[in-house]
Amino acid sequence: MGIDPRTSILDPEINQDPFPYFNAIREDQPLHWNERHRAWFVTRYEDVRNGLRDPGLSVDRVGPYFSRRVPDEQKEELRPAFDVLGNFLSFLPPPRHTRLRKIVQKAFTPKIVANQSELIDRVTAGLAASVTERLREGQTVDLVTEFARPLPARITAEMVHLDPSDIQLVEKWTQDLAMFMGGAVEASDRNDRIRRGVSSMTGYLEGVIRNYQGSADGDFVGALLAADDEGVKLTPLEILSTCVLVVFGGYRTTACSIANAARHLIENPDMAERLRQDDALVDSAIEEFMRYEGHARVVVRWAGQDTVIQGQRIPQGDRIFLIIAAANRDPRQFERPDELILDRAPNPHLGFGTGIHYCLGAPISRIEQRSALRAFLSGVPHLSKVEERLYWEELLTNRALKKLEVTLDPVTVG
Amino acid sequence: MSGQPKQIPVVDRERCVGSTSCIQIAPGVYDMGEDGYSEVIDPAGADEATVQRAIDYCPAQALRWA
Repeated sequence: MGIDPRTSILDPEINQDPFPYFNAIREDQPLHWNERHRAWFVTRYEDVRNGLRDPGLSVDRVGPYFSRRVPDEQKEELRPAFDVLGNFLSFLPPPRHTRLRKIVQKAFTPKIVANQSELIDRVTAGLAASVTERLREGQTVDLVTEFARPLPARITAEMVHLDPSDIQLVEKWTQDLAMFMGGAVEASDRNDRIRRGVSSMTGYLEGVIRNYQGSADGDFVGALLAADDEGVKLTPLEILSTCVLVVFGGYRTTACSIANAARHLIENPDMAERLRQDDALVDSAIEEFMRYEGHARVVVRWAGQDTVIQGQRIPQGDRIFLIIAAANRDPRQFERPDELILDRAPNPHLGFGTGIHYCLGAPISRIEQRSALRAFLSGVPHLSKVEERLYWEELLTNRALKKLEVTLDPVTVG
Repeated sequence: MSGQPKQIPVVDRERCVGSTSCIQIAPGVYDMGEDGYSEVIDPAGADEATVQRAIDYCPAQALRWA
């Protein structure tokens, strides 16, 4: 079967269910040039894993975008925003990455993670209680906006000391930033929204950083402000960028994962029941949901030098899409890859990436997902989707539900 | 195994990225240190095959036998 090189991943039909398309590429043309995206598609597990770890593949998405996609007359106005994005750990190569990550890692120590854990359980319990109550009253509830998103919003807000009354800003900021990070479809106001989102975020966070009085111990912002063992400190821009990155990376990604897990449990009540009976399966179930249909769909890199993948030479400067969603279903790595197997072990999925850019927030995300899943399972047992159809965000990089409206299953009412 | 000295799992803390992947696979052997990096708490905390899996699946390739 031929694969049309002009296909867009954001084609409505493919965005609705991208797996048949990705599976076909992985089996027929494991290295595929796509003209529409002007990128090489890499789809096999081993290639994607190696690609994520390859220092020859550049992670810098900001420099190329700024020089090619921002019109000259807008450059001056947009430079401050792109300076912030350009200092994201995820876009930096060693040795700057190494130095920064070492310090930032201190902001994710067990103590800081444990400090969040209690709050996480409290927030999920509160959200689950209000969702349950409304469902019992016969109302329709959107689990994306009312369950999956508020938890990570609250936790990331807490980490960067947002005032609780400003939590709605997290949603607004990250919507704008997703225009760049998520590779949104060409929106005419794209650059303007990136600038707006970043400047509004940095304005607020600069205030937080300036006014921070607490200790470095057990606090994320405090840890960023403190020096490392050798007395090296982050620059003000690096601190700011890292706070922006944590808000962006900590919120939408985990929200997607929670929503995706909830969706699968609603569609597969037998699985939900099995997890209720055997709590020990919750951890492996979370990994399996991330493998099967995790929020990370495509990771964008470019060839920093001539590179060989699948025996073919990729010239320096070409864009490369490492397609996580295809790799996580590669039968060479996973048995019965198109099935959800709750106790799959081991499960070396690439949902958090791999190598030096492995997700920094993975430990906290896992705690949030666990807590949310348990709260979900202990809530109302029988839910139905209002519509059979699912609505997905039009983002290249992520698999994110726009909404997930549910009601109490009529059979169980009364 | 016979005749050979038993291998000991070690963590290269320069490479560790704090993924907690090893702690999930072999919680008896590895734990998160105070500084956010993995450390070996009990070299004999799991059977060899389990430790090997943790080594194989470390996203940062920070684990090995010594």
